[in-house]
Amino acid sequence: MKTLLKIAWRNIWRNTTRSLVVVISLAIGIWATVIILAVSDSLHMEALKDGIEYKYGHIQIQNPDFIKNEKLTITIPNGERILKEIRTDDEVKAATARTEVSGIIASAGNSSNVILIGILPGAEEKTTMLKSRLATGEYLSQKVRNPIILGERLAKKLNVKPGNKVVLGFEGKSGELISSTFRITGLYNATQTRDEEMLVYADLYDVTKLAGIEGQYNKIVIKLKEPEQLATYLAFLQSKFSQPDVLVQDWRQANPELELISDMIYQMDIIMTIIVLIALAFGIVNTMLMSILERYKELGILMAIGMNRRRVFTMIVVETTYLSILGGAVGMLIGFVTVSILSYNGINLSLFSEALSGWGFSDVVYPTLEPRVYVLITVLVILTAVLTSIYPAVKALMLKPNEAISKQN
Amino acid sequence: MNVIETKDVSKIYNPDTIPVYALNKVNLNFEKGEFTAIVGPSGSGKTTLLNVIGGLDDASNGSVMIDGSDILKLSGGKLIDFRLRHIGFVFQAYNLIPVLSAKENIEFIMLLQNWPTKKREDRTKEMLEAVGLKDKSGSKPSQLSGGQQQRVAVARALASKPRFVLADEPTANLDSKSAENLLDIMLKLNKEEHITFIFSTHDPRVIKRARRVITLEDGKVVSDIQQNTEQALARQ
Ligand SMILES: Nc1ncnc2c1ncn2[C@@H]1O[C@H](COP(=O)(O)OP(=O)(O)O)[C@@H](O)[C@H]1O
Ligand SMILES: [Mg+2]
Repeated sequence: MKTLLKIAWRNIWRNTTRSLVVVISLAIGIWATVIILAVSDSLHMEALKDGIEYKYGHIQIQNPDFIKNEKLTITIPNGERILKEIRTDDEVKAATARTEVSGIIASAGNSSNVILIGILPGAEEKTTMLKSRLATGEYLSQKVRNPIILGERLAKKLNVKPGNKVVLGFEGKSGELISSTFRITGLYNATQTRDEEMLVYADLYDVTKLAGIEGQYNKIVIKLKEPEQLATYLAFLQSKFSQPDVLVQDWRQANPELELISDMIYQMDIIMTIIVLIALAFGIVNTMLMSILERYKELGILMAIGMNRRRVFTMIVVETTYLSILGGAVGMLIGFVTVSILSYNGINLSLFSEALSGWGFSDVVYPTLEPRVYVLITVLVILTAVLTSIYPAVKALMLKPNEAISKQN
Repeated sequence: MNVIETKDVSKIYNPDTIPVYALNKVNLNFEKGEFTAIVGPSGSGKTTLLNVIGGLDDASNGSVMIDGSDILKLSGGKLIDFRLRHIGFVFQAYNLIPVLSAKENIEFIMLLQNWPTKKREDRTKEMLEAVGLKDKSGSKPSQLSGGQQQRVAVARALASKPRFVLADEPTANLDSKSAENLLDIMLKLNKEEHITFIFSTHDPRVIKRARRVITLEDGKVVSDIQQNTEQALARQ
């Protein structure tokens, strides 16, 4: 066996150029996979973080009917009491409540469909980072009547700025149209284009008063001290409050679009990896077949003098394994170095940000990759190489020694 | 005692179209310690005969008995193992494993046979000396002349002490001086190690050195004579 390993090792250096081509293409394949996975992984994390930190918190409570109909009047029974109780729990960092209703916003010159979100000033900032996104003007200032904040994009579309008045129209308690004037106090920007165009934030008290549903909420949003406690605390809340008309969910369950992003990224990762692996497999099969064809006579003589099939097979598989380990090691190394550099400097994706931000991704990402992904890629690449070497190896076994030896070059 | 016995061995190519009798009812016995040349014009069946005896090719008819067992009845894996243990091969060219040194090439079959290290190394040294290549032990085949390469091949074939060595035109690619030298070494080892040598050739100077000369024509044995090599040499 030692001799076989030695012969295999020396064999791969007989055609240095060819071996280097294989090693380099393996390395590039792995490198590319590492980078792609690192970038997509960090985009993914960004998107999730974005969702949790700015919008959804860790846990949401709502009336299941509200999910289906999204009517302002479908509220959480005893919402105020539930919110108060939750705030006393040790696991909870902060909790807030919201109303949500779709409506129309209109300025002097233009109008647009929006979702009006009523928030609790004071509580909202402790729970999400909405306030940190304020770009110009003030947060929901109590100094004016019916304050409202808009996304910058929407403001541009409506041609309004802080200080201007807008009219909001939405459906009230019994289907009547409620319309009221709001004063813009500030503009915010968001990572998602759609959010910036659709979501407008007003004071929950103003909204509920206009709709005649004072003291009622559509959603309760909870931020935990430790995200690790999510599962246990969620279970606790569910057992405590769950009723036919009270639904307690974590951010993932409550926001299927985040799940969709996860799935999409996961599928893209798999497709990318498979494409790289298939390309590698073709390269390897090609190279090994060529190297076997060149050594036809030699293999014939090896088999004639007593090298059995198992040994010939092993020799060729080992040759491929050497190449893939070399390529794997080089690819991992440059992949690791590149990811380290990128995670320090960040990649500016603003070129693609139109497309990406639509999905909730920010402009600059800092890719990182878990060690186990490196291990997984290495294992996959080496496995692919070894599996694909089986075909050339079997081809080598089928040669007949006497014919191979008497073959003219 | 016969080491090898062929009984009515025939090898027919293209039996369904235009049959070619590469071997036609060959009956031959080879004894221990023989030094035998198979001669005949090109296409007379020399290579085919050696391949059939060495288990590299099957016969269409007949049997090849080696120490009483018919090797034509051995299955693929067993046949390879049989070759490894009992037969040494020397081919016309490309005998050696290019990535191994002279010493490693000679060791190769003993390694496949799992010889103990000490025994293997002693034997390798002995063979390197016997073929006069002690100082080339670390050289790769590409650094050796054609004659030196064939000597390494002979050393490798003999190192594991097979029952017999089959050599298909071992001197065909050598100049006459190297050919003589190779023959000297083969003869010496034949005497010292009592190993049967069967080799094909069409070189008259090589034929002269054989103690037995079998002539083939169109796959048939047309003559089988013992000759006194000493006399033959003296006549030269
Ligand atoms: N694979 C083959 N197919 C058909 N005919 C073959 C094949 N191999 C050898 N022969 C024929 O068998 C005969 C003997 O060939 P061979 O044993 O190589 O002769 P030698 O070694 O004496 O030159 C020749 O006529 C050759 O053409
Ligand atoms: Mg021949």
